[in-house]
Order: sequence, then structure tokens, then C-alpha cells
Amino acid sequence: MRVWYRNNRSAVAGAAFVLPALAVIGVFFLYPALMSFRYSFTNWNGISPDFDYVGWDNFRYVLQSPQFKQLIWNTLFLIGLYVPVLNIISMLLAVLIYDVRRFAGMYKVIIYLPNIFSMVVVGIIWKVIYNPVFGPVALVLEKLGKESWAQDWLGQTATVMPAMSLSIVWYSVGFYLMIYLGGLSTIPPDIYESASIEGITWFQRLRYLTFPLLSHAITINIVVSAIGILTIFDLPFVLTGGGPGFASQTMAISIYIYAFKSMQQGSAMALAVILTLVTTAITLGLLRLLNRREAAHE
Amino acid sequence: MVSVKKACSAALALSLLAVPLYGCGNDNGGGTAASNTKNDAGKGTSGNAGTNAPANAPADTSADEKVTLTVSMMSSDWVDAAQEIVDQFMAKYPNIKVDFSQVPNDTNAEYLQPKAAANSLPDFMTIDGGTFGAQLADTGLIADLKDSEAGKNTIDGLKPVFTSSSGKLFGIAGGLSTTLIYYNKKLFDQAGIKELPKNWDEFLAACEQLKSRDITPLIVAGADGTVNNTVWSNGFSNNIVGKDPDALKKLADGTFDFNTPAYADIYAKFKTLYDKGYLIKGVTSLQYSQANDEFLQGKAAMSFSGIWLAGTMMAAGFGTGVMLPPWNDKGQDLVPVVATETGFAVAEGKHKDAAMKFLDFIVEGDGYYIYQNKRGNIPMIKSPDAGKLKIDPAISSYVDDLKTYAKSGPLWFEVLPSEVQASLVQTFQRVLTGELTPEGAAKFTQDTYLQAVKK
Repeated sequence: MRVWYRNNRSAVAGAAFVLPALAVIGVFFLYPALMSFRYSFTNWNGISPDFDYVGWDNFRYVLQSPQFKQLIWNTLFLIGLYVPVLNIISMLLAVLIYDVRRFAGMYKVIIYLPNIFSMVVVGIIWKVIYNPVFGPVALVLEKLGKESWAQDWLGQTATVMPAMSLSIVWYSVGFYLMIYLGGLSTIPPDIYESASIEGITWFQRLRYLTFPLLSHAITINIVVSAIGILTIFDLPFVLTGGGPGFASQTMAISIYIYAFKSMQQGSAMALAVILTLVTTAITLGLLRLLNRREAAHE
Repeated sequence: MVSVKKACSAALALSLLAVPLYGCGNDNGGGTAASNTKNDAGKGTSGNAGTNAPANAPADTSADEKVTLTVSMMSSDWVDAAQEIVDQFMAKYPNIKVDFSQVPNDTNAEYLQPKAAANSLPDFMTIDGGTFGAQLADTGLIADLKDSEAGKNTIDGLKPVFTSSSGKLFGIAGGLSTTLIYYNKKLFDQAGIKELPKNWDEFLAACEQLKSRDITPLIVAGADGTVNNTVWSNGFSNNIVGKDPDALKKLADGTFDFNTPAYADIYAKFKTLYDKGYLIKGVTSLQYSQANDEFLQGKAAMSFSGIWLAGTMMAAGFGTGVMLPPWNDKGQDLVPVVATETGFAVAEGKHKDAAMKFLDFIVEGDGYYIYQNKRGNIPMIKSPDAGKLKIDPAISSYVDDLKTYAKSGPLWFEVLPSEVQASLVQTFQRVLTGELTPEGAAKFTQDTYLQAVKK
């Protein structure tokens, strides 16, 4: 036994460090996920102790529901708009703050500030901002004599998604900015010094030095922001409740409605399983793409 | 090596992505002190979600025993009164400590459902009449109040929607409820409206008169259950219940047909108000509290709401009047909504005795008058102390008027299956935004109803 321990001491120590974390993940993440998978094949209503297994009925029901196409469209819209816009804005802000340096701390605090609020609070703030009767946007437009420009930003199918995206970007840009700043701080300054001696412009430096050297941070941010937007719930729920109709409904909101308003836990779990598969597929696809890009730069 | 790395990444990603599922997984796995309680739901069982009804759990009976009573109430409209009730109750029963949680409006069932699944309902809670509470009662999670003092003293007409299919009285209504339109007397005077509209055509004419004076005619919160309480419930009462005496029976039997012109007209009326510019800007995304604020700030002449807000609305400085929502066509008798307010329920469990004391306190004791005085609503008990009640004379007169109508209709949550309830607000929004025609909305509601019946 002693001999075995002496030979495997480092493995045992490693396992001892990892096991508590694995136990937490197993009990609080994997087990509930597996149970969710199980319930996705039942007609459990969330209250009754009894339920029946209904095969793939819940999956069929969810996929054939009138809102499913809209959910897919909303998901693609958020990924297509939110992920690039958020990353471009946060990266440019990071580069500017890193270059300017003066008052950098203050800028970081201001931009990061929304991130310390609860998403619910942010939702309420933006709900007031967008209110077409007494919100600040409406008041400013009224003062400018452009009262007719004030819209029900959250109540129209054409404006709700961009309006919601703006509030999400406002909330989260600080977080991604910090990761980009972290990435920028790892770039050796002498590279920039050599480049400036060569006489390259600010844009050339951005294009040929900063972007390639930030590729790890870009990968992390794109993947994390894609997962974040695919599973987002709090802010859209408070801001729009998924409306008008299904126009801003995310998959997570739809899961909530199935589970707790419509009392169809089975359908909710089925959609949760679908969301997990979609998120996994998109994440793996992005990782593959970005890893190839990173390898090309290296 | 690369494939191992990829596999690890995939495994890690899957672990992280399990988060959204985690929030939805409800399985308490049994094993509670009361887990041996038998449930007699009587359905064919292929599995068990682990909810164990503590119906036979021992109740606390000792007057000196220290008890912490968990209380949840949907009391956003009467938050100060709720706290005062809790404080006075604790002063009266020093051995009972109340752990009070306030539940936001319109989220009571969402708040209670996971707790029911986890067998951890609050000892005392607010609850609406209708299917959700009935299921909790039939599962043995909440107490049958039929033989309680509060149950005996409640007006009989308010009991049916709080009675489950197995005959359990699962809640005591918080009052008699009805929907009404509050109007700003000052703005009505400005627009020269002397007589209140008595039918739909007259109502449209009044709206036009207000609009022609640059006054926004009507506020309705279109982003939450308020639109169901008001536009749907009044439309259903006048268009359906008023014309088909068996409508509610058919609805319960699963044989009702939503896909009819009469039902589509419920959506069409709201669309008409929207298209003619009679609704306040932003109605599609407007929520209950914002709508109330906007009316109190004088942003519109009328607010379509309910008697539950009488205490707040009648106190407005501009002078508030009330009128029956004239959702009836010309020549048709008006069918008002007469229903129940959100009520009170007691969980089965070891604190049932203490919770029953709280129920008596809030339904019949001093707590009731704190609650009623804040809300200004109509009592649900048979013989309240008239000297302690606080009801605005306009509301009293309104309720007297209600008694003169031969027929009345229900509130939406009392009669609709949860699947239809869950989709109603979105359906109204889709009609307003033009995504669905009223006829299309009626068909969509019928499809949802049929799915619910099938399930």
C-alpha cells in the first residue's frame, strides 16, 4: 500500500484537489442536467408526484410550436448582432484606454460599473429609459421638438431586438473590456516600439500587431459572449418578457414560460435539452473556427 | 493529444452548458420527514417526481412552542399593510415569528410551483382561484379550509373557484373582485363628457371626444396579466358568457370552441382601440405598475383596471370616478365581471396550526381591517364589522349597480387552462403588432386549448 502510495502520490494529491470541485459540479450541475433530460420525456406538470413517460412528444410539441421558428430567428439575430458588436466595441475601447493611459482607471470603472448591477436592475433601468411617455429618451426628443420620433421601442417587433441588444451590450461591455485589457497587457511593449521605429500608423499597428496578438482573448470573449447570449434570461425577461408576442423571446424565457406559467415541465425540459445541444454545437463550431484562426496567426 | 484536448474542452463546455438545465430541474428525491405520506391522486403512475404531500404531518399545538411561520403574499399593492399585519400578528402571538416574503404581482404561481415541487411551500400563502391552487390541494400540499372558521364565514358565492375537483376548499378569497374603468373627472370635464358610455359604440365616441381634445383616452397594461383581467375578461363575459349560458361548462369539459367570430371580437375590440389611437403610447410594453403611475400622473383619462386598486386610485387628487366597462354591443345587456380576488391558503405541515391562526387573523381578525382599509375592496366575509370597513362611496355604489345585472362573467385565471393562460398576453400583443388578425388569434387560442385538453 505504502509503495503504491509512494508511486502515485502526485496523482492522489491531484485527485484530492479536484474531487471537491467535481463533487460540486456533479451534484449541482450534472445530476440536475441528467434529471432534466429524464423529465423531458415525461408529462410532469411540476406539482403532481405522478407523471407518465411520453416518448418524444415533448420534443415534437416544442419543435412544432408557433414560436419555435421565432426563437431560432431571435437566437441567430442575437448571435449575429450581439457577439460581433459587443466584441468590436469592447476591443476598441480596450485599445483606446490602453493607448491613452491617462485616466485609464476612471474609464475602466465607468465602463465596468453596469456589470456590478443585477441584470434585473439593469432591465428596470432600461425599461424606464425606453418608456415612450415619461422616459428620458422621449423627454429629450420632446425638448428637441421631435416628439413624433419617440417610439414604443420595446413594444414594436421592428425595434425590440435592437433596443434589447443595446441594453445587453451596455451591461456587459465592461466585462469583455477587462479581458481585452488583460490580453493587451501581455503584449511585450518592445514590439510596439520596434513598429513605431518602422513608422507604422495606428491603424496598421491595430491591424497587424494588436489583433493577431490578442487572438487568445478574442477566442475567449467570442465563445463566452456566445454562450452568454444563448442562455440569457434575466435582462430580456424583465425588459420585455419576451414580447411583443414572441418577438424578443429567448430560449431561456421560453423554457421559463413552459415550466412555470404553462405548467408543462416536460416541454420545458425538452426545450432546455434542445438549447443545450444548440449551444454546444455553436460553441464547438466557434472554437474550431477560432482555433484555426489562432493557429494561422501563430 | 489533440483529440483528448478537444474531448476535454467539449466535456467542460457541456458541464458549463448544463447551467440552464440546472435551473429547471426539480426533484427533491423524497426523504423528508413526511415522505411516507400517501398521495391518492389516483392516476396511472409511471414515475414519481418526488413530491411528498405532508398531509398527515403532526401539527404544532402548543401555545408556548416557538414557531417560525413562513408567509408569502402577493402584496405589491398593499406592501405597508402586509407588513403591519405581520407585525401585529407577531405582537398578538409572541411565540410565532413570521418570516415574510413579498411576491411580485402576476408571479404567484411561478413562485409557488418550484416550492411545491420541492415540498417546501410557505406555511401561509396567497393564491388565486382556478386550476393551479386546485392541483396543489388535490396533491395534498395545501389544507382543506372547508371546516375552518374562515371557511365557514366566507360568502358562499366566492367558494366555487377556490374549490378543487375533489371538493377541497383550498383558499379563502381576498374579497369580491370586479374589473372597472377608473376615470379622471377633471379630464372628462375638459372634454365635455357629461354622460358615461353605456355600450361599446358610446365608449368609442367618448374616446374620440377625448382624443379630439388632445387627451389620451385609455391606459391598459398590455405586457402583463392586466390585459387578461380587463380586456379579455370583459370581452369573454359580454361576448361569450352573456350569449351562451353553457360556455363555462363547455370550457371545463374541453368542448369549448374559441375559433368563433364572437371570441375573435375580444381581440378585435382591443385592436380597434389601438388602431384608432385611443390607447396610451407604449401600451404593448406597458406593465401594471407603470400603467397605474401614468394614470395617477394624469397622462390619460381612463385606466382599465380592477377594484383591487380602489384604495390607491380613488385617492388621486384630480377626482376619480368609476364606470362599468361598456364592452357590450348596442342593444345587448352588459355582463360585468364578478369574480374573486387573490385569496389565502394554508400549507399542510407541522406549522399548520400557526398558519391557521394567521389565516383567521387576516380573514376575520384585526389583520383583515388593515388589509381591507388599504385596498378599499369588497369584503368576502359574511358579517364584517361595518364600522371598521373603509369603502369609497363610489365603489359601494358601483357594487350596488353590479347586483342589478342578471349575468356575470369570470376572471381569466379562474376558468382557463394554464397553457392558454400562459399564451394570452402574447396573443394580445401579436394582434396589436399586426402579426395576427383577431381571427388568427382566435384560431391560435383554440389550438392551444386543444393541446391543453389533449394533455
